[in-house]
Amino acid sequence: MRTAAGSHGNRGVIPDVREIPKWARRYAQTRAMPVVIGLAFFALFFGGFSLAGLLARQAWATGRTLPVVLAAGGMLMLVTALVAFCTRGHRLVEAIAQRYYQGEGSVSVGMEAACGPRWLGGLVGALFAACVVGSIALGMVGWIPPQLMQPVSALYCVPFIVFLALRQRQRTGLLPLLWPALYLVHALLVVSGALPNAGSWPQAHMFIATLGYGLLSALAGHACNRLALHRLRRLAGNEETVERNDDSE
Amino acid sequence: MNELDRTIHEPVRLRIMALLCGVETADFTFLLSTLGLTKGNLASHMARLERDGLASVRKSFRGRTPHTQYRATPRGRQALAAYWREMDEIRALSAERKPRPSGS
Repeated sequence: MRTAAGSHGNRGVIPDVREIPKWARRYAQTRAMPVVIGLAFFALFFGGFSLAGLLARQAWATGRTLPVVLAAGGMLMLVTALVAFCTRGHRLVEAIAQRYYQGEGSVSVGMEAACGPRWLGGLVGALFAACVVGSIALGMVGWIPPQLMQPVSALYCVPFIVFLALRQRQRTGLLPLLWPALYLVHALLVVSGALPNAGSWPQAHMFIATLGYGLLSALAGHACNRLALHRLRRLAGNEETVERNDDSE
Repeated sequence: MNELDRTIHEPVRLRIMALLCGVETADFTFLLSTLGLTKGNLASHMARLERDGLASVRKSFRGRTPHTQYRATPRGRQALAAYWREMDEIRALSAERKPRPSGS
């Protein structure tokens, strides 16, 4: 019988039980479903805006007014939905994620660990927002060509995501660093000319770097989470333990 | 050598404490699903750990549903670390006294 103590059982169990805290922590740090859900919502918005824009452009080119009006109305609805999602969407995301994790229960790790002062987060967030608005404005006036939009965005997106990942590392581990790493590699490939960058490719590069790699990182986190849960249950949920847990005291 | 902590030495409670020491808080459902225990068993083990000051409990409501969260107390973390040290000493002594046969 496998027991915890070597005095009356298998010696190999003790190292196994000592692994439990590590896998419990790893499981808690990789509960990435809220990120997956949030990015899926943003992908839907992105797709909606792209579709409405495409319809509007095609209809405008052929001189049809009604589809242009419909596309504009659709965009307006999307903007309203996006604003609502940005302000109150976290509740919806949390509710969906909570439903997903309902059977597994809730677990937290390092909630008290804030890396650095709070004002630093605000300052970096404001700098990031300024960079986003600035690059869009410079792109609109033609100072930044569309072909360089993704590499330029990497200059501020990568440090920002790295900052967030390091700030939250107690809670999320270092897996979120996969996202900025892929973002940076993609930018280098675009600049070096290894990737096509004509026609609608610049938009595709932005889409891939932001939502694509974000979703990929979150799904990688989710896969690690399933693995950690499987390992944790194998270590902690010993059937023989259940049999002898009558605890005669 | 000190006597082993009987509260932690029990296999299920050892696993519970190992789980709690790996995270900050864990709720009843998480412990239940991970350990594969019945509700009654888990509740009795948690009551024992709480009584001995190794784990603390926080009860609240999520909407209308009761939500019970547990965390390992500093004393519980120290007790688990001490338990591992004692187990290592026992294993070291056991290895010294009973050398394995060369054939096995």
